Amino acid sequence: MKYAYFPGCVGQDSCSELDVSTKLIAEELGIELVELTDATCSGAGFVQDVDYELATALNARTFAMAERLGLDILTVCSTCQFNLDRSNRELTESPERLKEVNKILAEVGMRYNGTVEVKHLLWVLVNEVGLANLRRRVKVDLSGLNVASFYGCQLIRPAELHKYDDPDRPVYFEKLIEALGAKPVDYEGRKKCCGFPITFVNEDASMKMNAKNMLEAKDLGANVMATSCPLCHINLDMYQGRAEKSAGRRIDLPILHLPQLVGLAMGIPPERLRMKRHIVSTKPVVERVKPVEEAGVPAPMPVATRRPASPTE
Amino acid sequence: MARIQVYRYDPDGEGEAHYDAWDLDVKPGQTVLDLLHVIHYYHDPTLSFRRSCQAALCGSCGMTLNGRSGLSCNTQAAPLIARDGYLLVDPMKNLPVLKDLVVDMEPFWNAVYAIDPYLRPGAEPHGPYVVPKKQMDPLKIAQDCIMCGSCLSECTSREANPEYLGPAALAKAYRFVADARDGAEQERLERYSEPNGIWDCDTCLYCNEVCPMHVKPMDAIMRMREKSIELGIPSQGATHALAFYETIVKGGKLNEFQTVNNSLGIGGMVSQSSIAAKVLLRGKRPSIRKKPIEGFEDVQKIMRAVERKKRREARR
Repeated sequence: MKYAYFPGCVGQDSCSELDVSTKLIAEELGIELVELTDATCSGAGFVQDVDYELATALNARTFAMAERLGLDILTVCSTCQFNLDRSNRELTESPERLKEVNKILAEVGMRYNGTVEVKHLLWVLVNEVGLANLRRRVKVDLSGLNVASFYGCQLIRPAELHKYDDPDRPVYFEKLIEALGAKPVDYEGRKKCCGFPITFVNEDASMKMNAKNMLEAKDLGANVMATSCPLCHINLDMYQGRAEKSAGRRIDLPILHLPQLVGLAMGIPPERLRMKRHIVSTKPVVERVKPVEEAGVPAPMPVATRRPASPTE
Repeated sequence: MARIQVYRYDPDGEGEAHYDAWDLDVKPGQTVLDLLHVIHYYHDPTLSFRRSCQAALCGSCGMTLNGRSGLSCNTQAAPLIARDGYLLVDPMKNLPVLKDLVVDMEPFWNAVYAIDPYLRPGAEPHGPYVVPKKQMDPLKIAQDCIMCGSCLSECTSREANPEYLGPAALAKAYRFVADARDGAEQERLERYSEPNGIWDCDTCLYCNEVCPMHVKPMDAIMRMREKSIELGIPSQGATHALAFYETIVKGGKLNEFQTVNNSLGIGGMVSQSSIAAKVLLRGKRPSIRKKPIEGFEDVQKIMRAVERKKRREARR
């Protein structure tokens, strides 16, 4: 398994623990990552707001770089995933658009033939690494963790763009949580918006959304949340204090990045996963897990009810 | 036989809101609305719901079906029951319930009225106004709206902020902004750029996802954002997008610190200082200066090529 790795801007800056933990689990799972060090930002929607044409051209450059390597792209951010995938779809579905953009790429001696796929780490873990494989690699008992997933809107919607999960009943994260031996928390908020896209425009509304999702998860028994998007992580973790003020209630919910949760289960020490960088302390999470030998029982695998069959099982 | 559970609420009654359940014979091809008719005619005539055309044209029968907003007249019951093992019919969300499945649409219409939903003619031509197809095509993402309210029902920004105009009203707004015959583009976009307008969309994509007519309200909102930036209309949202964009064209990748700094200004940065303090304490501070990415000269060449392409197109 080999991918052109698109780390994303936030994943290497304020959330650099995401990049570090992604590389650690990739090594452990035998996913070879060729980092696209000279790729630009996916545009995150904002570059698209200002200059849509430029955002598409820059993303085409990223695809051409991956194509040259003969690799598909791996993302670790729901926003990057959506913006790259949307540009890619635009180019691969319209030979005319592809031709236009290739005229621009020709200026730098590049060309995109439309052969690259963009995939999020969550999909690769479930579809390619495989749940049974992950289960076998679990070295730490996570049965004390009730994990609330947080997908990030743009990883599950729109259905017409993404070909994997169900936007009404997303299951990828829940299947993964189960495979790692933890318990998924079934709550509506996991499909909703964290609020971050409007934190700098309407902080009140953003914090209301933020608090509502976390409190819903917490009231249903979550003792940790895991997200597949670093932008959600910023709102959920960095802004959790503000969310608490907005709701007038203590939340105190540790927020992990997806690869941190996987790494924790595989026995990678929490310090190496940089879990101390988070604003909300992850200490209660570390205290709830123990090596499998110590626990003496292999983690049980409960089967989720009320959900459609997993795509890979 | 399948069990269908329906939300009940009677403002004049004694009891609280609750669900009533009926076990019905569900035939293949039957819609949820068909089942509601069976209940209304044969089991409980007091069950209230709106419907008219039964053909996904009038937009009256918007409801929440197993958690997802849509029209009950074009949603089949059997596939939902097969998928989830149950059928749960709720009124639409984000609107007050009047009785059972009937919601008060007034807040919905108020938002539509607020965007000035009438053509404001610009310079009138002599003779008929012929709009070329190419100029009408962009309106496709908005003009099929039947005002059912499904998008507003799922809107996450509206859920947190009832003042937000919401997807249906803003899609309608775009219908006029993008219409070649409308002469009030600047004025409209200035109005829609105010708080609770286009910049309050959190881009969650729920509206695009649930629209039964395949309208793309979020795309319409994005087109208006692009246009308002092009016209230089000031707003906090535009300032933030421009601050973000600036760091990309300067170095290829986002500079989080510069973006927040330029987006919020000094006053705004002070408001973030309690968060900044925690961030510093955890060593989570984003870098203040960032070197441009490798191969940034290529990025600059692409930027210039895009500019040239746009100028060529503008001349045409």
